[in-house]
Amino acid sequence: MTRTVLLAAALGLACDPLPPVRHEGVHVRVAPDPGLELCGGTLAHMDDFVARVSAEFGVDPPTGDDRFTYYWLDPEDFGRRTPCPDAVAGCAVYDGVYSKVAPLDHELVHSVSFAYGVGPQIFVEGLARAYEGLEAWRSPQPERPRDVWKFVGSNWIAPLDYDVAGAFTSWLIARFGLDEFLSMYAGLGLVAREGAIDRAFERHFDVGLDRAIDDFTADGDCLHEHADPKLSECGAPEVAWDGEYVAEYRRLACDQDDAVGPYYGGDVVVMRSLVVPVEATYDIAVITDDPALAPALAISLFPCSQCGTDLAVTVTAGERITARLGAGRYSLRLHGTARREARIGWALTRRRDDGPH
Amino acid sequence: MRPSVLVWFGLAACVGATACTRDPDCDGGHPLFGGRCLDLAGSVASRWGFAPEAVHVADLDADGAADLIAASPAAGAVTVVWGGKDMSSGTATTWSVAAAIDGLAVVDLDGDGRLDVVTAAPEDDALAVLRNRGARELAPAELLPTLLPGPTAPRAVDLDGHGAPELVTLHRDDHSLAVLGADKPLIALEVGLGPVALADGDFDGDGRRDLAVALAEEAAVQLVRGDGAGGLELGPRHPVGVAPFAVVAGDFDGDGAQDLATADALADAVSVLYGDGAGRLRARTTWPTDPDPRALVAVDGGPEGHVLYVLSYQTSTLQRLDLRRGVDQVGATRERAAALAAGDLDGDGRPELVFASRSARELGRAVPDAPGFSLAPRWETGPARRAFPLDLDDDGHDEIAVVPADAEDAVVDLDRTATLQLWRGDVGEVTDIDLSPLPRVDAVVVAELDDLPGRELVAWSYGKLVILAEDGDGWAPGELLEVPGLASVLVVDRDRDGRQELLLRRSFVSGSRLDHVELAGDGTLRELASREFDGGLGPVAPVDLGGAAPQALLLVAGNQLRLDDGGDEPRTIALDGVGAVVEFALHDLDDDGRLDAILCTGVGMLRVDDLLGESPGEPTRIDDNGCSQLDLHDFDGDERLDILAERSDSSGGATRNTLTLWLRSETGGWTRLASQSLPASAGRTRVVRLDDDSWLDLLVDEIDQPARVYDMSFGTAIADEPVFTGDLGYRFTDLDGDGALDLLGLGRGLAVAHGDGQGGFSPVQQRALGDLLPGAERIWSAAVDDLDHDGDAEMIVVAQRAEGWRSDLRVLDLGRAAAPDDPPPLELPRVFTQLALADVDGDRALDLFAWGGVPDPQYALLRGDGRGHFADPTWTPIALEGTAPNVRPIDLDGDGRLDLLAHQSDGLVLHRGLGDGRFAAPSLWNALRSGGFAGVADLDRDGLRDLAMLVSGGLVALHGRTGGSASRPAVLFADASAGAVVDLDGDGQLEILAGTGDALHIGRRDLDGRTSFVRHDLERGGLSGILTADFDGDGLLDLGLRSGAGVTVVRQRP
Repeated sequence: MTRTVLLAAALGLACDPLPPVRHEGVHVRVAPDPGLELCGGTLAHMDDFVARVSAEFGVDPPTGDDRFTYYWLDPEDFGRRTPCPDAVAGCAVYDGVYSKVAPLDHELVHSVSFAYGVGPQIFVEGLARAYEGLEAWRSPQPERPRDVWKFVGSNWIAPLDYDVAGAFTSWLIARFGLDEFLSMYAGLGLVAREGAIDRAFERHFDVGLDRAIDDFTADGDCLHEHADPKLSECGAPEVAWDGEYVAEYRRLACDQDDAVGPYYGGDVVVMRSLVVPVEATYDIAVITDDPALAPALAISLFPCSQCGTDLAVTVTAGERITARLGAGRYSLRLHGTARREARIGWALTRRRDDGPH
Repeated sequence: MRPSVLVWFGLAACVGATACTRDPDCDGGHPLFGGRCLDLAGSVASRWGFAPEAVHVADLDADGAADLIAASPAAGAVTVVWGGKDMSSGTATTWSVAAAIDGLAVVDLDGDGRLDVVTAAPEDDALAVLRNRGARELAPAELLPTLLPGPTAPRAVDLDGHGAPELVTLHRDDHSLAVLGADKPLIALEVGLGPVALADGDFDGDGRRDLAVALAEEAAVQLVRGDGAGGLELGPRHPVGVAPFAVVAGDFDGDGAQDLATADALADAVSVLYGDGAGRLRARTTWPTDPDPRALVAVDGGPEGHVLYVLSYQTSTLQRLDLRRGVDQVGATRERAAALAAGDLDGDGRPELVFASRSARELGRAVPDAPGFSLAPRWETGPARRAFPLDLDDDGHDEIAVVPADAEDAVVDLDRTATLQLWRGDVGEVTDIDLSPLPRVDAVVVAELDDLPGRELVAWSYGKLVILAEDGDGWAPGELLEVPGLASVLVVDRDRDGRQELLLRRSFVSGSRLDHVELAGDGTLRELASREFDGGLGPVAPVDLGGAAPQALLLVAGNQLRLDDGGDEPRTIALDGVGAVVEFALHDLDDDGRLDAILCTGVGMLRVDDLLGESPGEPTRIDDNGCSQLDLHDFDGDERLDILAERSDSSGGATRNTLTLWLRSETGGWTRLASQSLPASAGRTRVVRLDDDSWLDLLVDEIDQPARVYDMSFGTAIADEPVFTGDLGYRFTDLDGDGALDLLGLGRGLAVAHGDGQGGFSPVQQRALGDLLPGAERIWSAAVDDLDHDGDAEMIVVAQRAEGWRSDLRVLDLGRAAAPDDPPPLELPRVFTQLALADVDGDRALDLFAWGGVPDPQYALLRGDGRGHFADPTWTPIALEGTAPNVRPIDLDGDGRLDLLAHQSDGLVLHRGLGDGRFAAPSLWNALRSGGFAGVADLDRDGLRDLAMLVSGGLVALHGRTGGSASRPAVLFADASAGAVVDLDGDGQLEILAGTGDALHIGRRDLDGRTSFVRHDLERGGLSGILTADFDGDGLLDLGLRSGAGVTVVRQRP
């Protein structure tokens, strides 16, 4: 029923022609408006992301005619051409994604999660937020309010705080498991209100909504960038190193095969992963040969351990810092600008822990 | 027929037939009234910007003295500083070359015995050759196409053993090198990813020239074998550290085989590859260097073999690397260096080292074996957010108090409380102090705040403070005190009763506040006094004014020094010519019983004697380079305080802190030691005493970084001294009376380029200021015109003296140096006096109008007689703000009398001219507080003059209103970064010109009141200003499109 309504809405509203598909991926097809160009690694990233989220959610990734179609559209008349409100960056209606930016992995999570139906907005957006990854963010966003009650009854995106929805959803998944969460979610409808959610909680989690929210509020909040499993980021090709020193100097440009972007128009990201074998202090240096581009160039290291105590580290070109890195896997991303090619170099050197003597 | 009728007729014709926009002779240009055309396609670019990134030493003029040749890539210009016996001539010539250039080679290409200059022009896919015509003249750049696009790093190498050397270039995007010989492309060869630097030598011992290419993206050096006939083939590839940015060749170990060295930026090392003479490696060594080494020169040290000089890009330190012992000398250039070269500058047969500073627009010389100091890393703390010295046990030795970094940015814990770690130099253990109930801590001070035994620890974070009392077991916390806006705390004893008080510095959106408080018996803080300030509050220090009076406070508020002695208002200590003050240190330097000051200011590091007196002494400049922090200590044990000046530098996309030590001599002067530099981000350096050894230690506190402790010790180091500065301000004026505008640069030097009447300019000739104006150090302002109508321009300048802190009004004759019989200089009351030429008194003769700012703003009219003579000035007070008030003489109210429009803190203030050299009381004309002038005209045709201004939102109009004010800004062109409003073609209609970096937009107001713009894309971006003037002398206004590189003149053609 919900699916029919949404599809009808999509067909009814999207009366202007949408662009043809220009990029054919394994799981995603991309149809950009004329003049919009994906960075070289974006399609592969979308395929990888859909495959990883599908595996996480226990569904088969779409292939063949079932592939998701990602319409990347000019923001100018976005609302008129799509079923999305004009104010949003994008929306997903089953296998169709309509977006002003590319990539926007948040919407791809929606498309995968439609396999479990459409639940209340707090969990629809919460689920997408919980798995959307890091996009082009270089550093964790500041802490935000956590008033879940304010949003439990939201049945439209406008009043919803995505961070609260994402944080609560992440917490529920961490506490009760993804399978149980999806089972609970699948049983709820789009317009489920507090009572229905409470009953579903009792049925699947053995705790009521009140208790769950109280426990969530009492627990230390975990910022989105730490709670998100960062499926693509942490699954990215691993940098080989000896745990003592690793460095790389390379071109960073939108046309490269491993460059993902341009996101909101200006960013390009290369994803790697890196395993820190032992907790230690490390020197991190980032350089470029073009000082004018230095503020746009950086590397970031986000721990793949969810909600642990390890810190995220971001180093801009021209800086060198010392950081304590805990042992474990990290998402290592190179950040640049999609507008100009650049050279970026980075080095990670373990240092001898040295105190007063 | 009256002109206005003609104008109307012309307009009507244009509107009716649109003939004005279909001019077939204006292809690529912009059609104007009457068939005239702005010839955008035929625009002429002239570049003279000086921001050098490559430097070379050679005797270009064959006078026996080495010259310095510098390339400024972004400006597209080559500058030659002509050498003399000590390189201090300050004489230089700059040639405009191409839109962008890269690298330098100096070689006799045409066999005429004269060295020619070669640079790469990457955007033109060519090499630019400036052939040497002798007599210090280079021919205009000749562009020779290269085989591959985007050439860089040109090098002249004789690959075929006959004729002129070939020119080898690197092509990064094609991963290749290419060879240009006898003006034609010869060969291209793929060498690997990221070719960035070249060296040449006979690496395989076959007697033929080979090449070595540093591959930055492959961490390797690729050898390329030459066959002696111009052919090249790939040789062995040798791995080096990651990101080799420079490679040099030489027989470093004296075994007869050529060796190589690379500067490996991401390995923080120099790799030395010892060749076996057959292209293979015999040995390899790696020498650690300061961070991010990028430039390298090899200097033959005679019997002791080669030494390498390495330049760290991060810290701009030069290190001398003895290949037998490692780094043996270090010194930092105070301006960030971008390139190195070696050559015999002084003709003593030994090479000297020169560097180029892009950011400071300067060439300098590095001098090894100079007096200096060194910094040896001693230890560092664990992960820290902040660190500061604290003598908690009052034993005369500092502990390092550390705010430990923790996981608080990963997990939000509302119940967390703060702790402080104490690190001591002599023990390996760390003491924790629990600061609860303070949730987090920014800093801590120790004080004696009450009459009870034991001291107090005051810890705070933004808006919160807790006082801990010392007891037998440690520190007992008091209540958490909320202090909104609390930013920092200072301990004082203003009443000198032995019981200390606190100064709480508080920061709000609306301004700042300083509270003087004491600890009350109930553990709360009792306010003793409070003072509010507009804007931010800088350093604060208590000062004794003598007698029994409580201590006053000297502080920096709104970048001004202010003395708060408890009266109604703090007294501003305004110093002539001293703008923003960022830091001060007080001491009675001359032992006269009065406090003197060392100041970090926008015009350098200054000393001011008797700062707190009614008439402080005249500033004396210790250092042209500014500083951000000061520490006064007796470093050399002579019982005189010396200065350690710290300066933060984030130029060039890298951050560092430079430390310069000034030792005070017996005679009261200062001796500068070679500087040192440390990589840094936000934070500060503090001199601390951790032990009883003879030297002080240095604590480097960077936010969110472990604190580092260094040992300081005297020794020899590498000093730097400037050789040439190209940092001048440029204007256009007709200097020679030929009708075409010439280029005039003024500042620490003087530069001239003559207009050719076609929109172009001759090469820019720069001279040292002292050659023409003996005793002058810098020109701050100038008025230039043909005052005596003899065809040549006269120049009246405000010149600051090299000795002392005064400026004079002087006459500058470009043709000859000032002589003793010249008119005596007129001493000016303000260092930054500014000048303008205008008929202020309405007698149709140009007058000289002069004005100066705080401490006593005043102006003077020097009435002109029309024959180049001016009456003596009479200075009159006027309400102006700032050291160098932003004032524009302009007839804004259209009454035919010159007014003064001043940019002040409350907006644009108009001083109406009374027509006799006096001005009416100022009135606020508009509340716009910032912006650049773009033109004055009746934009809305209401009979009142309007102002066009450039603001952050674009080009706006302030429409004049009856009654002497103006409307709110109305946007003429959003997002413009340059603009002008002028009637270019004299048709009575205004052209509105707006620049948006890479495009010029020309608008005309239509008859319906709307303005339509036509966009013209520019070949080169960076448009930063638009001038309108008759550049070519044909009587028609042309456009000058300014950028950091120079100007592009767009002529108006009939």
